[in-house]
Amino acid sequence: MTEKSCPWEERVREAAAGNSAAEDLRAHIAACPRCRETATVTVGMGKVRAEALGEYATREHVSAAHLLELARMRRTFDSLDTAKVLEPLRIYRRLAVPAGLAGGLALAVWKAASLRALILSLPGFRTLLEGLHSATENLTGASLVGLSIAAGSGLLALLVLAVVTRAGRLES
Amino acid sequence: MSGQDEQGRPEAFEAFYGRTAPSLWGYISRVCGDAALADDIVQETFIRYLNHVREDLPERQRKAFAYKIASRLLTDEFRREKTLSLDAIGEGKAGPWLGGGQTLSTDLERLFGSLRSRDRALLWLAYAEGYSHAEIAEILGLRAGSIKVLLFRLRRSFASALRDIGYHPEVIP
Repeated sequence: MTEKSCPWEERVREAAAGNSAAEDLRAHIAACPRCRETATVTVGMGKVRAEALGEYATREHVSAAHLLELARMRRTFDSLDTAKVLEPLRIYRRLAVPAGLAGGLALAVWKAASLRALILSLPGFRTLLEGLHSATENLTGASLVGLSIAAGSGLLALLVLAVVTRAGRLES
Repeated sequence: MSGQDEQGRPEAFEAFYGRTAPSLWGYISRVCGDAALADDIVQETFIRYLNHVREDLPERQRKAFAYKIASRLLTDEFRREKTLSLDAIGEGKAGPWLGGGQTLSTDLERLFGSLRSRDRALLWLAYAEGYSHAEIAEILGLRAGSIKVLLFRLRRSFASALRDIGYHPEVIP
């Protein structure tokens, strides 16, 4: 036992809170300064607590049923508030994919000439075209170029879609 | 089961409320010194408890959660009150924090009321409710090591002050 710690302290606190102690505990309290302080403070705080409880008993309080109702209303309003806050996000998620596709398509139409030149300038693209041209004699070169541009545009649209979807997930 | 589910078992909440509310009200009213504010904080505490605390936890833990919620509400109130102007203090609006809202009926209450609010909270939780240092640290948002040091000094000074006003309760029957 030291002045800073005493293994009896919890027993002393419980005994003081219950206002009764065994003989050995009383003897210990008389000999241990720390436990004397603990007993003094516990009994004092017990009186402070008793006064507070007495004051509580004289006051009017909300009933448990009323608190349950208030809590239910709070949850309802909280969920409404949450829905209101999330509404712009919900609209954004609904519009993101159609808007992305429409934008991609508009971009492809607007920049069709540049897109075509870009695709034709891809390394090996002309060689591929020539190989396809020789392999498919029934198709004209012009239709093959058109087909390739359409495929390129499709790939670009898929890329735009992937980017928009990814952005939408990050936003959410 | 969460506090929300407790709506389905109102009798369980009613019993818990009946056991916990008086001491929680006592804690708040004695720490802040304002009975009306204690009413408000206790009400708000139980509303939050119902919406956030799981009912399947042990009662001691749920009670500690209620104390934690109440302590945070009280801290928020202290912070809000600090923004009041000196004019408001002159009009008595900040009275509770200056010890003006409470009737101190005994020397003991007067002595307790003269302590700092944090010290009142520590003494109440440790010696009126019997919470451990770890539980008090969780309730007040402090480190358990700090609680031990603070309570050591506080117990010594409060015991000395109690003896000065004539309390010698070490003679337990």
